[in-house]
Amino acid sequence: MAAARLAVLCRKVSAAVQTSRSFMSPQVPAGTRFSLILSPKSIPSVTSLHQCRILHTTLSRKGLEEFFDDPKNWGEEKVKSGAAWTCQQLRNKSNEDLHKLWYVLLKERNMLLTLEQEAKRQILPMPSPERLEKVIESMDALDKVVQEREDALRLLQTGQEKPRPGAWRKDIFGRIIWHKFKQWPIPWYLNKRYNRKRFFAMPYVEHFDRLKREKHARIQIRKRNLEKKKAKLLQEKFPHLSEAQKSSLVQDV
Amino acid sequence: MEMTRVDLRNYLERIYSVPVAAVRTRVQHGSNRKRDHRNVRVKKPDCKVAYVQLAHGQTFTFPDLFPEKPSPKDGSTEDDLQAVMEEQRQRQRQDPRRGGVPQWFGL
Repeated sequence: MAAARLAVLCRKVSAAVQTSRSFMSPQVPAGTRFSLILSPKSIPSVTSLHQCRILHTTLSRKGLEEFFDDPKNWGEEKVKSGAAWTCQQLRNKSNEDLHKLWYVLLKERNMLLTLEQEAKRQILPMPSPERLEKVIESMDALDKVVQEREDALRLLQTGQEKPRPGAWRKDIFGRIIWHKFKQWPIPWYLNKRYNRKRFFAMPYVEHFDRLKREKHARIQIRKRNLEKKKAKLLQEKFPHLSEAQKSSLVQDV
Repeated sequence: MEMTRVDLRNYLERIYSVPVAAVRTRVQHGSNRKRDHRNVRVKKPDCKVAYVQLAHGQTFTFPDLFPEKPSPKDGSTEDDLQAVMEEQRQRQRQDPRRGGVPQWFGL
């Protein structure tokens, strides 16, 4: 079902691009080389995203051309591109728009990666490598926004904080860890690999646990003492800047 | 690296609408032979290579992504350079009324 939707989407995208090609070309000023517009203002329709991308009239490679940039940009030293998408910009978009944007960004990323690899092969500099960083940043931001939405939905519907179930358990070293559950087709008591894992610690581990706690306590005490010393030093050096004085001044006023 | 040949076929067919006839994969071992200044081995990461056969009698040639363009800018940059050099020479030239006499001589 998702595949059919994707196929429909791909066909729509290519159809939209083909129809928009005729009236898009005169808008691009001569002499400028623009790659995929990464500006957020032109988002809701996919056609405007491909605004400055003038593809071949014959899509004879049936999609393999999408792995490469606009042929006019081949051999250029620089290719201009807009800024990356920020989280706040993406939060204003609907889920359908984000879905479409994800695939647009994915194809752009694949194109840039092939270009990077080809540049490494030819031992030539890749034109404008910052495009790849921007695309990766945009994709990460999109993923973060989608995760936020899923988290909110899950909390409202079920009250579960984490998407993946887990539990606090003591491992074989005596540490309390968050054990994340895996998906298995069989119950745990029939699972040989799971039963070999030990979620308990033998008595001889207590000594080492105590040593760990002592070390942790020593570090905390050292940190606290250092903070106190720093505060005392500052108080001696700058008595007029202390917060106690400030509060007394406020009270006086 | 975790992508299988089935995954790749679905990926190409659904996202790029490329008809795929067959996919074969292999793992390319990245060299571990080079050593750095401490004689510690430097590993190049392993990668997976996939050989995709297209359906419907299609052919595909990898395009030349870095063609040598006869840049018309070279002539203009040379001319600009020459103009700048001449400007500098003219600035450094002494007073022509001295008749080529160096500044060492007073007056």
